[in-house]
Amino acid sequence: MLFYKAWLESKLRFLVGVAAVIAVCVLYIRVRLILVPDWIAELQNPKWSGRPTWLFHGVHDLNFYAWHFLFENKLQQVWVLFAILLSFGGLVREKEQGTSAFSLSLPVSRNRWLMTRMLVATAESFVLGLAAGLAVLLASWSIHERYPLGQVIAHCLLIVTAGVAFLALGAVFSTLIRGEHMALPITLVLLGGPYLWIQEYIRKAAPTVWVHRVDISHVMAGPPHLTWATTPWLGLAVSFSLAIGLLSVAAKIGESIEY
Amino acid sequence: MPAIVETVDLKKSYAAVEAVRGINLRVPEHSICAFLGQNGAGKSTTLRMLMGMIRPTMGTGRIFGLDIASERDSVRIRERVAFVAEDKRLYEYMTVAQIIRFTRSFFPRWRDDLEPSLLERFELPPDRKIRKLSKGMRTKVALLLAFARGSDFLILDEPTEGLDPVSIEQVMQILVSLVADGATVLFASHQIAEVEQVADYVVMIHRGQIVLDAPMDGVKNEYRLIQAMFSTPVDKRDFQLAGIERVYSEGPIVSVVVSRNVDAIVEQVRAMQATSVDVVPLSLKEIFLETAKGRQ
Repeated sequence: MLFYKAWLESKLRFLVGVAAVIAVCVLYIRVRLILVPDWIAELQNPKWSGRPTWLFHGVHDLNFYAWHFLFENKLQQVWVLFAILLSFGGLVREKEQGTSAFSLSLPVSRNRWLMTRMLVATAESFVLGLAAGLAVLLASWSIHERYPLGQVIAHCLLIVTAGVAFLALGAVFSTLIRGEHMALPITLVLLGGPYLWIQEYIRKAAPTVWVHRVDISHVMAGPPHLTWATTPWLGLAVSFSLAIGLLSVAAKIGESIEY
Repeated sequence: MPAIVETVDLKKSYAAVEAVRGINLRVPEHSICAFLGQNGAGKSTTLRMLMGMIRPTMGTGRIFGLDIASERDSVRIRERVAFVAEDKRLYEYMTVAQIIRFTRSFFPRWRDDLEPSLLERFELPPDRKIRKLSKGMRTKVALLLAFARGSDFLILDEPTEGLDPVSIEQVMQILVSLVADGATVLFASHQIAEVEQVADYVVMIHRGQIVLDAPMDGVKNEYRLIQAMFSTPVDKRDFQLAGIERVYSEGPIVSVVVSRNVDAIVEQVRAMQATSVDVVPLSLKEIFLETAKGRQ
């Protein structure tokens, strides 16, 4: 029943999240129909020297195009936003709403409340990833191109598994920041700024820079063509370790709060 | 009688403010214990400490022999305790039926016999969302969820606040029947008339300290107001016997509130040449007011 309660509390955010990831995926795949003819014209123009390196691959390879615009970029950002949103809630929010006394009268430890909410948020984030994958597949089919099923599944799984650290970070912020309406904006500012900055920095930095290996957004994207060998295992391990550490912090803070 | 709750020198401070100042509380098994006090006296803080929601600054507390300050013990305590908080806020997005189903899942001894009868007695609509219920109805849902848990011990913070007199009477009857079935009740209330009706023990707290802890019968039998008239004005300082709680004098008329030793005090007053002496029993409300006033 704790899972049921967590689901009731987060289902609206989850459904909006599903709609958002589907919209982003469908939009970016469908817009390829408009972009590719323009890009081909640009590539054939000998006078145009400022073309980015990814443009050639973007025109000829849907796999690369989807990776560049979605898995490395917009889909990942939307997924992170909703992962944080889904991880919000719990006893601290209940304290603001006045229901924490009822919840804490039940024979459930504070850690169990936290873990239940995190499991539900993880499951919902996983479904967001699946919804995104399905949307990419169907949208590709609608523009008469094929995106390999295995790659879609692999990329969506990578986003979700590498992104658990963001879920855990959401749990920490949700526990730390007491005000019901302030927690999310503060989290997004504190998290979103560095996240976007690191993404931008990584994109410009040399590929050997060490941050590549531990930058979670880079790990979530993986390489365009994902195989067992190219999966960023070290980055995944860093993300999981970070998630465990952050959840321990959230649990510790949660235990010390007075209701 | 063995005690369900035992606290020793329980204290809670918030920065420089001492909300609870060394409470030694004992709630005997199979009894109704009323916990009285003014607003801000420390009642809710004490009850929340018992439920593990806030941690004591000092002192110890045990329920069923389990430590209230230990998270692991607190979960085990909550398996056997029903708690209704002062504000009685419930999950607004659930219906009455959903929150009953949700709560029932945590309590294997859920009273399947009591749940439908309480739904009927309290006239609660199972399909209505909590957010659409009136304050009184929400209180009734909170009470149903506590009563039907099949708990050995109920901690109720202002359980009848916002209820109409008929519902208050129903709640009192249910409390008495639960105790008859073997439960123990500790309830904080401002409704002293109700407390007087059902409580076996009364504990009064004032500014974080217990100022009265006694069986209800004892309190009712012992507390008296002695009104004496003298031919000439007398000095209040002449009334200093054990058992005298408070003395009011207005010229030749003296009123003495006593908590024990009534006969000896009456004898003493007569010996002071009083022209008339009346002994009047005090209601619990009067005792409460006198006790609070005496500590201002």
